[in-house]
Amino acid sequence: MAVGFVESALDRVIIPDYERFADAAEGFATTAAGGCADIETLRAGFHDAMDAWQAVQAVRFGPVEREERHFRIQFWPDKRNLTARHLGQFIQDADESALAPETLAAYSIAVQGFPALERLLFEDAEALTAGNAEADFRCRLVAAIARNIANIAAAIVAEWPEDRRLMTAPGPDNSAYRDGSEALRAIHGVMSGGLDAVVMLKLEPVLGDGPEGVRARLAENWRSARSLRNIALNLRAAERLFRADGAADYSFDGFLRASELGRLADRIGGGLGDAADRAHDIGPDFETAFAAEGGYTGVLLLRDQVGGARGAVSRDLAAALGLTLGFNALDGD
Amino acid sequence: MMDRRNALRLIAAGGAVATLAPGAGWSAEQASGPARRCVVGCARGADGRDRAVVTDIEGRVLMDIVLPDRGHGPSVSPDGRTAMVPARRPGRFAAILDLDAMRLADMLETPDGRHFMGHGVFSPDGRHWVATENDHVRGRGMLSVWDVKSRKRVAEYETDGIGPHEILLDPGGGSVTVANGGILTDRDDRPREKLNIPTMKPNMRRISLADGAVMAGASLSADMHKVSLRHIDMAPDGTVLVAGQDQGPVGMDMPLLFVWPADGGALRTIELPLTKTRALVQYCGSVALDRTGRIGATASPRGGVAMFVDVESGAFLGQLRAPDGCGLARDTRVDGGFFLSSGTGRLDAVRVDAEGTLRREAVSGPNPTTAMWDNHLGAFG
Repeated sequence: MAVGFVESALDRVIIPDYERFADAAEGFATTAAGGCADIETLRAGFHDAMDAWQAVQAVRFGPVEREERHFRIQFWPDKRNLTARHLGQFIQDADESALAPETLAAYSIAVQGFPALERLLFEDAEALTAGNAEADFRCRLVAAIARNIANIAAAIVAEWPEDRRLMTAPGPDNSAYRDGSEALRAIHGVMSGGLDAVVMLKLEPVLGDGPEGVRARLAENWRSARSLRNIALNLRAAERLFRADGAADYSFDGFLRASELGRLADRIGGGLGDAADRAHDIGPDFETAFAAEGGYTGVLLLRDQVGGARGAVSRDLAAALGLTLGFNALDGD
Repeated sequence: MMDRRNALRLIAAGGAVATLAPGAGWSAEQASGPARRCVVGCARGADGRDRAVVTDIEGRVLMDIVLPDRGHGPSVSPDGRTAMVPARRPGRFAAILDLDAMRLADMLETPDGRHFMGHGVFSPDGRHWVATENDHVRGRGMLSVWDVKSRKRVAEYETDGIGPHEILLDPGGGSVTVANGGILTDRDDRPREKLNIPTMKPNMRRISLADGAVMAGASLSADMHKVSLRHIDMAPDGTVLVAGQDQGPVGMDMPLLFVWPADGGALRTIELPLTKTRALVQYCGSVALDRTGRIGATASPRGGVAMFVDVESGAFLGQLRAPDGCGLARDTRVDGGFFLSSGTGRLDAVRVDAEGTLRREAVSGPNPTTAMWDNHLGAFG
């Protein structure tokens, strides 16, 4: 049974989502290679690539866990401002050779992924089009980072078949996935871990201590004004994984219904869908949300809605699947 | 209670006469006790009951004792014939396991106003067992000294800190090293709630077993005061590897591994690459050194990872995927050898070489007795 869930999650959702990410990243790299005259087209390419990344952001196993790929694509949160420091130094040094793909890939994780791109394209966009030597370097850095992300995404897609084989062939000689439940646990972890991140990293810090204490700049991607758009995409991705993109057999949704746990299935699938709708409606970013009448309450409600789905996934769905979760992690010592 | 001064003289004498390096009791050939190498740890069974378990390295269950509640860190006597398993905090029991007969010998209980903090260690002669405790009225960290044979609590000392956790015997046997985690707990209604995070000050202390005197101490710099120093292992030369749990905000990437030199000097930070620190999710659940003392291991159940470092250079050696992995013990059969257990019921033997090549073999998978391994492991035999 476990292997069936794993195959269906990988084949219907996770691997296709990585393929979409690789396509979007390749498209953006092509655009960025054409120069920085049209900043809006560049920004649109950034948004497309980031949309696709948000769908797989919660996956923390498989090819993405090798070679620091996850961090190289997106190093966040960054409370120590490494991105600003390393990016500033990088631009000041203006070392042409550092723009070569293999050189950049070995550089600080803080300059080779989305957070550096976001600063270049949104925060310091004037410096990109100033027409001087620094602007030229910045522009070629945008292209180099976009190419780097596309290369990483392509490598991930290229390596997935081998990881898929490992995850769907558990056994005594498979030290990563010795039995079916270990791969199933990893798939479940995409949902539970992703929802943890939405609540603990993307919502709670921003909400602060109350309406007067919001900290919108702790949000992910506040510079490109897409913090809630990210959350909506994360929630949609979790919902699609839960439903295995509509598969009746070997989806978590189908399993719960077949186990006469239809109400739990509704609570999870419906809850994620409703929360995604809410995030979309009050978005795209926190500044917009908080500026609206009742905006803070709307975000609070979103937090509670995601929190409810998160509890149902990490506790009830895990129990229904026979997974014991977090005996050591959740209440450690 | 037995006269405190006499009891302590016994311990001190033991230390002087039967000098024993840490771990020597495990590696020595045993005249009695189980012939096979074994691990001891706490686990929750498929029936949901918490137990103390001994298995051999083929994964056969040799002892299965149901406990009143979750146990925590096992310690094994130098002769390998007795193990103590204190309760997880704020529990008040400690199980005495007879490793010859593979049965529960007895249970200890802390007096009113005290509870165990989850770890303890035997004196060099095996006659006494020293445990970390909390004085929950005054919020003071304590050490309690127990006479293993008479089951009497014969002495207690302060640990010179709040929230003591793991404790180890120093080379020479006359003193112990204690990690005072710094976290105040024990609200009556919510006993595990953390009450002093903004002001916590963890520290390391070396405390004499003769009179409770603080012989050495160290703490982290003020900017790292929220890194709770909790778990320790000791190399044969007395060097201590310390693993922390960062109670501060997410994303600060505080270092979590430190070395406390045998001379009791300042703590040295092991500077892992940023991404490796982040993979530990601010939380090391346990720590172990290999038999050479050169390779250190820590497991983060929150990060689902076990990580290996070169203690001297601080270099990252490698990591393993270990969902809910936490328990680590030295595998004294080989250099770079460890046992690793997880909340998923998996128990593995792991071998690491100086180049970071990792080998991992299954000892056992989840079974009705060890459906989930709890935080810590010990190894003996």
